Amino acid sequence: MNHPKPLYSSRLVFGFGVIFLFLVLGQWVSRFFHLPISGSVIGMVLLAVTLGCRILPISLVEEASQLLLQHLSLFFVPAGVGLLSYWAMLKNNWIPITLAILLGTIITLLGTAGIHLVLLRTKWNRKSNNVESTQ
Amino acid sequence: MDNLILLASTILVYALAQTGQSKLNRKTRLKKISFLFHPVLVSVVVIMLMLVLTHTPYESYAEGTEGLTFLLAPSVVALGVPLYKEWKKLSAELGKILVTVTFGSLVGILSSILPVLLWGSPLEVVASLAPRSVTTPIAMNIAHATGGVPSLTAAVVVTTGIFGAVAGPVVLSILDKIETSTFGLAMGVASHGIGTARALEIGEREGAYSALGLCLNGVFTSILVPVLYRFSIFH
Repeated sequence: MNHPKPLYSSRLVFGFGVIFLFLVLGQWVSRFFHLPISGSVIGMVLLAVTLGCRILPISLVEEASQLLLQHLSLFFVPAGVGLLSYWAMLKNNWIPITLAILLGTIITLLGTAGIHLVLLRTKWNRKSNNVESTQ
Repeated sequence: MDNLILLASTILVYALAQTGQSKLNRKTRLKKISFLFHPVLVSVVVIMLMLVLTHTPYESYAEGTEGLTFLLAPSVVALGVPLYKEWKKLSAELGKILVTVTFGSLVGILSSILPVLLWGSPLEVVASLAPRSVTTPIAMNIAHATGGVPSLTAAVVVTTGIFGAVAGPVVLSILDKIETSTFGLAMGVASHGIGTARALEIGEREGAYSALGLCLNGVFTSILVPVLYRFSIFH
């Protein structure tokens, strides 16, 4: 990710406002239609669609988004530490649960990647078949 | 007052873990195992030890670090920006992405419930594990609707995320010549937000695919788990 030039511009503050606005919008949509999807995920889609429709210029939210996403992992640490309080619950069934998590995650990773690789190799939509590999 | 020390130490431990990992990455000999020292994993283990050794109840810790947890929801919204930036590329491949995530979501559910079913665990455990691969709030909703224990689901979801973020890139490196899109989708589908954070560390495009994987997997899993439940696959 490349850094935008002025780090503390008013756009940064504005961007935070917009992001929180979309979070609220997402929560409203989720509640109003009784969707099982959380407000933040709906907010993400709404933000992308609004940017895509050119209702909102990307320059307004880019800095705030970058600032939040650069250290996204940090925000998950308290949730991870929270496992401490769940230990009593996991204790009874920890062997099958650990197996399900470890095996399940590996199988899901390889299954998802596998089918996508197969689909990429079949010429389904011919135009967008440009191959690009991670370094 | 005390609680703020917990917030400060969380941020500092994370920052140290991050510096430590990038130092390891520069050492050629240790490069292979540096993935094990992912900052989230290291911070979680170190802070757990700190809390246990100082007899600090988890409640005080949760209170002190509320601010960090609070930033999770707006960060998920912020994923809309990379999603928009890569949209041209994503929309051209949308058909393949949809098929991939539908399949991945089904694999995710079945691979979570089969081990516990075969083990003969109680059904509430099975229902708690079924939505394991999606973000915590969505997973808890699904577990609640299908007779699972939402807090058990939360624990399993977080463990899945951390494991996927740490092991994902290594597991996926088994497949040779993997595309940016494949990598991102697999990370997002298998390990939701924490996997997406990891994908973003590798690149913005990886992050965008992962965000889309996370989002679509959330939708498909919330449809598939209740359907499988109704057809009494796991009860």
